[in-house]
This record gives sequence, structure tokens and C-alpha cells, in this order.
Amino acid sequence: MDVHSAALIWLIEIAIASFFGGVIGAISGLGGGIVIVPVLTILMHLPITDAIGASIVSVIAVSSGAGSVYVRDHITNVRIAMFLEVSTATGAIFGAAVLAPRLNHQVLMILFGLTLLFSLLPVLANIGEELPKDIKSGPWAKRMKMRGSYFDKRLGREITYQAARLRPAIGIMFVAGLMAGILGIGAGVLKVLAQEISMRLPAKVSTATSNFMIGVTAAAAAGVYLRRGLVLPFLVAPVAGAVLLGAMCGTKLMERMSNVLVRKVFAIALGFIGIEMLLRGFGFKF
Amino acid sequence: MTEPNPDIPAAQEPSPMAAHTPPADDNGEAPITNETVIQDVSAWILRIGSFGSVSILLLGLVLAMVQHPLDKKEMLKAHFSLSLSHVSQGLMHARGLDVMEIGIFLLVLTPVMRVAASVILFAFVDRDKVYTVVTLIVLLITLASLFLLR
Repeated sequence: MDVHSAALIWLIEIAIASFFGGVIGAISGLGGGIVIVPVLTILMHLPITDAIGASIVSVIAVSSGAGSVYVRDHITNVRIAMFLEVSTATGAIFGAAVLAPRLNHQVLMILFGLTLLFSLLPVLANIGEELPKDIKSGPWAKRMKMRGSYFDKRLGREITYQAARLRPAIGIMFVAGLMAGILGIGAGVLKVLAQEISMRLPAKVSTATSNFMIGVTAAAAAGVYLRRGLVLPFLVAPVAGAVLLGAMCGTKLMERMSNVLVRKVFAIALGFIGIEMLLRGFGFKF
Repeated sequence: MTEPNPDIPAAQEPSPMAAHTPPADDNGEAPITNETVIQDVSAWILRIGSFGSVSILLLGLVLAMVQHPLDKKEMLKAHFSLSLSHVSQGLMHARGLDVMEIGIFLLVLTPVMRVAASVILFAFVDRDKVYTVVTLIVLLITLASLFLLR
């Protein structure tokens, strides 16, 4: 076949892979970046920097597409999202503009793998907890009015919640921003962990709130990548389109799933991907 | 309504001070409030922003491939231009690459618009000074990254 058809087929392969990346990303609340970068790097043999550029833009598409559903269902806590976002966006810009240019591909892959595996441990420890109970707000959380309620479709009733400890979450979110800026991921991993572990929010609230933040953080980081010319037009178009479609399908599924199942999918996806990236970073090829 | 799962610990009863989700009436549906309207507008912004801009992006892809068929190598070499005048000229000729760039631009602006909407929400509906400022800071940080930074 001629080179143009081959190029078209290549675009379609990218789209299919990105579609599944979007589905997993939406269900696990990660925003897609965590799945897309390894898919493009490992499966499609693209340089990780190109993958990161395409990913950070697609992450915006995913978070916006999926986010519309969360907003409609009144689960997102905008106060928590905006307060933490100050820290996260700052981290993202610092990571993308200052740190990322100084890191080579192997280091990026290793960082990627480590980020995922680190995040896996606390999530495994908490799997099975449907709703946090007896949560008392810390001083900062109280002052910043970090509480709310939502109607849980699966449980069929209104759930009220309060944020526990705010200050550690701010630090975690800065690191989440760094990760977003350096690795091109939504860093939904760390966002969800900061909110579920430190702030003790219900899983659905943290996932929905993270989705909002992921988009904003990714926009801040994407600004840097676009200016550095690391976003390839012919790559980002199929990736963003397919990921968005996948994320919409994944979100519809996720609405009806229990919180426990959400975290399990989250953990399993992280595990496989993390190990693979880590090994690749150290030079093992498959 | 489904029965609550007995294995799941019971959450607190919604308190009068609880945040912004309006209480459900007998039909299990929330009444329409200002809050609801603004959240629906937010959802609308997100839907149009994400699907609209991605559609433009994909349209640009199709245009680019039709106008100037490329092989994979050339595709990987193509880049977005950073010059506004160059892009507007390209748009007038429906140049695929520039249509794609507009798509990206709109996509990246979508979360920014949502933050801007939240500023308005906090300023005029909730009248929450603290969070108006907080959200404004986020807006400024993000805009700076997109338009100002090197």
C-alpha cells in the first residue's frame, strides 16, 4: 500500500488505542493521561515527549467531557477544587516550564512508573471502604467551608460529607501539579488520594472534584507545551478525539458502579501500567 | 428508590447547613434553583467546549489530510504555528492545520471558561468574597501560562 494509506491506518490505530485509554481513564477517575502516555509510548512507539504533549491536551478534553456529567449530578465541590487548584496549577507550570526540559526520556519513564506504583499502595490499603464515617473537619477545612452533600444514585440517598485535613492536601496537590506538568498526566491519582486520604471525602465526590481540577491544571500545563512546540497536530487530533469518546462511554458506566468497583479498576490499571513503564525506563524491552 | 446496602456504614443525615444540593422533594427530583441553573450552564459550557472544539480539531485533521496528503514522517514533523496573523490567514483559506490549531485553542480555553463562570458564581450568586478571590487567582495563573509565559 502507499504511504498515505499507511499513514491513515496509523492514525486509526492511534485512535483505537486512545479510545480504550479514555474508557479506563474515565472509570478510574484518572483523566486518561496516565493511560495515554504509556499507550502511545509503548504500543505506538512514539517518543515520550510527543506522547506527553498530546496527552496533556487530551486530558483537557477528557476532563471537560466527563466533567459535564458530574456537574449535572451536583457532585463536584467547586470550593475544594478551586482552593486546591491554586497549588496545583502553580506546580503544573513549574513542572512543565522549569523541570521537564531538564529531564531525559529514560528519567521521564522511570518517574512515570514510580508515580503510578507509589499511588497504588495507599489505594490498595483502603479498598472496600464505601463511605468514610465519623469525619471531623480540621481547622483549615472548617474555615474554608469544605463540606457538602450529593445524591448518590446507586445508594439511592443523600450523602453529607465534611473535609478532614486540608493542609497536607495542599502539599500533595502541588506535587500533583508537578506531575501533570512533567508527565502530561491528569495526576488524578494524586488528586483523588489527597482528597480521599487526607481530606476523607467520599470517593465519588473526590473523583468528580478531581475531574474539574484536572482540566484546569492541564490547561495551565498545556500552555507551556504548546509554546514549546511539543504538541503535534496530527497526533493530538486523533488522540484527543478518541480519548474523549472513550471517556464519555467510561463515565456513563462509572455512574452506575459502586465506589468500591471504581477503586479496584483504578488500582489494577495503575499496577500494570506502572510496572511496564518502570521497566522500560530502566532499559528492558518487550 | 433502592434500599440502602446494610453493609455500608450509614452517613449522617443531611444537616440544614449542608452545602448546595437542594433537598429532594417527593418525586426524588431536586427543585430548580439559581445554583442548579448555574451548574447546568457550567455543564453546557463543558459539553460545547469539549465536543465543539474536538469536532473542529477533527475537521481540521480531515481538511489537512485532504488538502495535502502526508506520510507518517511528515505528520510527525508538522507543528502548530505560534503567530496569530499566520493562523488567521490560514483560517481564511480553511487551511487544515490552522483549523486544528483553533480547535486546540478552544479546547484549552474550556476549563478556563468554567473557572471564569465560577468567579461569577461566587461573586454574584453566593456572594462569597473569599472564594471569588481564590477562583480569580486560579483564573489568572492559568491565563498567564497560556498567554504570557515564555
